Amino acid sequence: MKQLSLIFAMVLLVGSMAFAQRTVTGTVTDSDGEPLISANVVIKGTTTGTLTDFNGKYSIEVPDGTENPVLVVSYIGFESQELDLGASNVMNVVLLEGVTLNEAVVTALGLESNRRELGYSVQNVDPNDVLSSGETNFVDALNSKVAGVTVVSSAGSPGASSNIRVRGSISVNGSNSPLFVVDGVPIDNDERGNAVDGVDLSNRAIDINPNDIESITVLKGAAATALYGVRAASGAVIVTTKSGTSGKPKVNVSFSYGLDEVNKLPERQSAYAQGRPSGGELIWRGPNTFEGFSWGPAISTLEYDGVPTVWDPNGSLVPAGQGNGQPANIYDPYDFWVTGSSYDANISVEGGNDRVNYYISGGRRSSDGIVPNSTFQRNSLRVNTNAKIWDDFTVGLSANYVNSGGNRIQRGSNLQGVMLGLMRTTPTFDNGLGLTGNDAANNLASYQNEDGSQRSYRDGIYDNPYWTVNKNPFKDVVNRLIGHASFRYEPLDWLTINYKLGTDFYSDRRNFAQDINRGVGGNLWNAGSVDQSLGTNRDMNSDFIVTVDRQISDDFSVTASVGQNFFDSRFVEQSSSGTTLAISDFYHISNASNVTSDEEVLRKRIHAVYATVDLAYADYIFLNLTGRNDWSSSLPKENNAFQSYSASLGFTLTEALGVSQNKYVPYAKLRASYGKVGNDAPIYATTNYFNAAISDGDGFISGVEFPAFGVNAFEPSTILGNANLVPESTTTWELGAELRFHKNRAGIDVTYFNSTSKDQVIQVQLPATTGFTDIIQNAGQITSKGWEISADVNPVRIKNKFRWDIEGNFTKITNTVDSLASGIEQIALAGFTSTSSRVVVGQPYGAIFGSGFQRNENGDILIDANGWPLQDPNTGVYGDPNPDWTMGIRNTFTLFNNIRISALLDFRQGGDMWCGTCGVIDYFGTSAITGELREQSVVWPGVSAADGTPNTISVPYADPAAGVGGSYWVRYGFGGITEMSIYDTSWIRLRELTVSYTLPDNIFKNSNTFSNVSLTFTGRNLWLNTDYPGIDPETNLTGASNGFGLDYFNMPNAKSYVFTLNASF
Amino acid sequence: MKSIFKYCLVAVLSLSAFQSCELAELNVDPTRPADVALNLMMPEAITSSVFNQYSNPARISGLVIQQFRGFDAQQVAYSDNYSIPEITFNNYWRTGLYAGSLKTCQRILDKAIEGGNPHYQGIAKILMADGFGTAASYFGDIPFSEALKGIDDLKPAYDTQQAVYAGVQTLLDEAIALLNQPASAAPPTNDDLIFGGDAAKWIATANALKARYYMHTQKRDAGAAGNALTLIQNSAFQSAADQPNFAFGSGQTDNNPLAKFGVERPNTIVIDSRFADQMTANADPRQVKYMEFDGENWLFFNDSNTDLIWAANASVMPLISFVELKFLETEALYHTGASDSDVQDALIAAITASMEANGIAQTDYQAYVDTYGDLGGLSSAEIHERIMVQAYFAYYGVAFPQSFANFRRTGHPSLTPAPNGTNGLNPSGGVPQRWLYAASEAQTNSANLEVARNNQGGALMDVPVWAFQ
Repeated sequence: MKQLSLIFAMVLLVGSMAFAQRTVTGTVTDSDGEPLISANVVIKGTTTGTLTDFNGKYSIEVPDGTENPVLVVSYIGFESQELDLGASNVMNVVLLEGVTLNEAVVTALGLESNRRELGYSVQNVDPNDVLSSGETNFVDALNSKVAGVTVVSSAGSPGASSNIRVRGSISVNGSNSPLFVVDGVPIDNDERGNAVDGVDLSNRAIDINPNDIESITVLKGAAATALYGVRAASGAVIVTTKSGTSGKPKVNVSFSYGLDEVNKLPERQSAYAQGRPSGGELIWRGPNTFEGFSWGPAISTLEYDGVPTVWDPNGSLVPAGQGNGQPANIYDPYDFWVTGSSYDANISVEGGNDRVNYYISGGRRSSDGIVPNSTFQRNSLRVNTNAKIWDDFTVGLSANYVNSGGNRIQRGSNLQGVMLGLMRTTPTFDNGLGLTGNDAANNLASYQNEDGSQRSYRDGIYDNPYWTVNKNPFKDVVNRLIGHASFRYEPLDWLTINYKLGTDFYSDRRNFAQDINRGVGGNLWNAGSVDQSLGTNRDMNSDFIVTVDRQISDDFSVTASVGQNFFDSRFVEQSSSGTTLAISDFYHISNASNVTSDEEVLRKRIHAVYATVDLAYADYIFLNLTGRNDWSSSLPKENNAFQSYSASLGFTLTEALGVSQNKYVPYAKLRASYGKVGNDAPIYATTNYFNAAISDGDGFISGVEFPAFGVNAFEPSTILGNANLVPESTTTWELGAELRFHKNRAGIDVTYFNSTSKDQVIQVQLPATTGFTDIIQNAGQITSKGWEISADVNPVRIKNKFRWDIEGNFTKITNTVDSLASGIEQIALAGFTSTSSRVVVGQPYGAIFGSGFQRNENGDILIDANGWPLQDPNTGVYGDPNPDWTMGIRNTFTLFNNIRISALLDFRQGGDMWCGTCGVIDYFGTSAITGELREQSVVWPGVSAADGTPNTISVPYADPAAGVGGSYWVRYGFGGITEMSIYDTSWIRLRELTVSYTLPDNIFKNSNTFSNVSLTFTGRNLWLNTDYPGIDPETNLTGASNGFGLDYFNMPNAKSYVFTLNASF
Repeated sequence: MKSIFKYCLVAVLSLSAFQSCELAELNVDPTRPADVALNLMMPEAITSSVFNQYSNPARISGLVIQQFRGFDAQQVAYSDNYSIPEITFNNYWRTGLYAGSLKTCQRILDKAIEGGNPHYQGIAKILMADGFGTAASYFGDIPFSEALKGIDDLKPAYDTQQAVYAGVQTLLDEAIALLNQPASAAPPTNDDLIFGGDAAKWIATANALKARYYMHTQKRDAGAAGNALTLIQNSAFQSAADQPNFAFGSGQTDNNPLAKFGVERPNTIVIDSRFADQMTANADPRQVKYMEFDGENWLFFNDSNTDLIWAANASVMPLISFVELKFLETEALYHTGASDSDVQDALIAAITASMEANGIAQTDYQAYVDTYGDLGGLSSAEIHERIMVQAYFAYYGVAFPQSFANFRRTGHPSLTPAPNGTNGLNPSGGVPQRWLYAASEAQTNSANLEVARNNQGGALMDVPVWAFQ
């Protein structure tokens, strides 16, 4: 708090320097004479501005020395107006409804443009919608709000990464994530370390405090992003932070508090005990036998023997009648989940005068998750200032310091994973030993025996979830500074020179430990381990732009820019890993006996020159041409230059025909654009290397790592370098139309796009018999095409009393892998050897690949002589994780201008997910379905493999006489066949429900303290309707990697209730 | 003054913006070397070769021949359902064998030819011969003559199993010739983790391997048993002390693969109770070295039981053992028409070698040798069965892949197939006769794979490989 007071003192000092000579007042109304509240009133060419009050009244001070002052009045949904002030000190303004036509957008390189002048699709996101969603990660807050944009949160863990795609995925090995640009500086949105195991880590855009955001623009196609060249091959998210409006210092304080609960979990059986059939009988086998299966006797047939064990104070289970008569208990492992909580406190001050303006903010967010001991914190401090040193020379400075990180919990394919241990836990074992949630997590006896060994249902093969949240800490701390220095020099009124030098610097320290007696089966290697790493990333970005802006004639204007860009990135990570800890509960590298260390250095540099020209004719024809040449360090020297270019045309029909005043279709615009964006190669791909040697190739066990046996060793890398790589390219053409109807009360914006990516630089699997497993080469073509529709309608409007708005976004994207390298039919993106997300020729991107049942030509499943479906000897595609379409619909009701109720519904149609969790809990016999069906029989639909006749053989799902391996869920191996666990994820969810109330201004009439106080309630994910049997299907095992559609003991999602108080003074 | 400042600023930036820069230098990974000396490659080549003999395909061999039994997870499907899909051997085929041990050997070979280091060439060829020979026994036809050529042949065709076995003999002959040359400067020393650079011992090993792979082709090549016998009696190593031993370490990153499995995949494989019961019935003194009973199951691994020598962390594992050589000799004698008493003497020597390899005292094993080394009253077919069944008990731990090969080529011991072992990959439901090709081959080299499959009757698990038919 000390620091904050200091900031205030500073701010107040700066603010008091503002002085004025002349005050202009007036009222802003609509054409019906109704006052417009919170309309924007600024003096053109200055940073002086104010808002109208509850009665539409404003009062503004014209800065000293302003020549021919012009008042600019704007209001969302209305046409802006510019008014010459002259000598008048009273200026009443009537605004006409004109909706978003003149919406300011920030295009590539931070160039500002007017939406009506663009020939390509961009979409703004209302920063208030981002804020009111209450999401930690502003990427999550973009979900369902932009046509063509899909966002998938990887999990409900605090600080978990979020996976964003603009127009789907098109690159096999390259990033499919858009470029994030904050105030003209590209920032790092890397997500290091999310794999099938480990913890949920963050994507680095999480470091941006949503409270600082002034505007967000999403650039979608190549025409919009070509000026960014290689780095925006997958679209761009352009964020502008608040810079401060001139006037008295305005302080804004907000505080929100939220509660989270787990929103969906797979259903479990609670009727059958730990054990398995043996000799045709169902036998209870307790934790001491390491038994994993819950294929034991019905719990109702068991009782305790009354002899306490470390696993159960009631004793072991015996058939009823042979014990003490106390019936066996049934436990619900789901009492592990707790109510998470979070708070977000922010304070900011902004203001300025005609020379200087500033925005200063500080924020802290802290979350405790739905898993005990899971946390995430973010502390952020931002200072943005601009100073006009001379009339033609302005300097800008921005610095954003962020400290973030948390305690992450193990998940996924990982014996330490919370969900893995929890979901497999047998119903007859009590993980918490009489306690639940945080109480059990805080009770050592729940998860640790007196001798220090672990208490768990398989006696230490999988970690007890309460053990893992205490004993396997993963903490990360990021310290980050994003900033820029810039100047803007206008030597002539038509010539501007801009320069901006930006940096994004962070360190990422990670400390992961697994304590002694971690789950592996009670032997040598449960001696624990510690992994520590420190990664530092330094990005430098410099842009030098010269802009010419000339009005050639009354009808014809030209804006042209040429520029130069330099980008340099260097990432260095040093790590130490140690095994065999000396003492428990001490998670430092000094506690390990065998320590190895490593260093990774990633570096890349890009030089570029670019130019853009905007031609406008008569305010209805807009042509934009861009071109850029990049030279990238990652390409072979001879082929390191590549070009990006675009052309786009906007044609406003209603202006051209002079019918823009008509009531029914006041606005109609057509757009067409074409663009090509180049892309470079992964670093270090042009030559061959030797790696530190490992002797492996088993799949179930680790390898022998050198140095070993007293010698060191290297082995040739199995990836074949390629000195003949050329840049890859993506071309996109796009057609669009934007129409407004009925006095602007409805509108629709439709875009069709078609992108083709060629010469992709792909790491292609080789036949290993070449001596190499992979080669990096140019190969393949992927096409992505689709429709993006955004629409809005205002069906009911009663001036200042009631307003109902509907906004919708619809996205339908089809992408197809046309070809890969010669002879290569598929490439794995993420997952397991058994089931993975791949690119497969002729299939949609990310297709789910694995094993299935054998079928005849008619598609009938073949049944063997015993009545069981046969497994297909060949692997293939068994699911498409891409949805058929997605849609977000927001209904907003505004009452008396100060009560706002807004509901965002999110529809997803189609899209498959591999529920690996389901397959495994079926295998172990803990899932609900195995409880329902295990004593029943089935005639599998299909035909006899021998003679093709329809199958009539009835087989028991799980015949005890056939042993555990005879059951349907076990006979096809661990986790079953891929096809058995593919499920549709279609959903409808109430993604956000927001109710906000702004206190009427007149309450504060006599108070100089508050000018605006609002209360907001936000509910997220309050309702979810889906047939998917696992957790909330908005999930992805491998985070922002290119693969998706995989759920294997992922952390579940949360539903949230957030209360926010916001006050300005 | 202010104009000068502004002009200077713009001028300086314009200049710095267009400075030239050496981009290519930045694309060199500073953390990895582009080339290394032979003695830095050899340790991995040897370790990977030994690792491959004791990793996944060896364990699954043990499961299929009913010495191991799956108890949990995938292992149950392997032993009880013969559900051993194509992906099972992806890792072995890719990073274990071809782009593992073999690619390093090829690199050693290339560099040693260039630098004139005959002993490095010789050792590399022995390791390659063993890798190719074992893989041919598992899969039948495999890429051999077109393999390991990198960018020069990105789609290696498959050689027939017959051609690979012939090529293995050639490789070993070449290796022997190279190792007979005088050592060059900087010969293999402590980087040779098996013999410390002793060329004579490598030559003896090469001859032993020649004998093994001759016996693999015994059903197809009338001269094979004779060739093997000559090599074993004259050129191969003559004692356990000279066998190519590899000592694993006791740490988590250098221990024996079978111990790794016990540690890292606990309770997923146990000893097949049928195997345990036979050993108990035979009063086999080696049983305590192979397994322990936990009251319910026979376990192959228990870190605190130092008797379980084949699954210990720091086990000493041979590339080929003296025990195997003695059994090969016995079988070769049998096939070359030696007298029953000569065969019996050889069998007794073979069983004795196994007992000694297991550290059993003579007083403890003599009764067993007297019983099972006695061929009196047995028919010729029964003698053959006795040899192979005794090899089956002797090869536990030390040579699962050879036990699997013996079973497939001789039918001994006779095994009852798993009752739920019929599936699309093993349509006739018998004990598998081969491994399916790695899934990655279907994905990367499908045309050549298709040819190989067609040459071998589809190559599903119930189709025997050429040599064992």
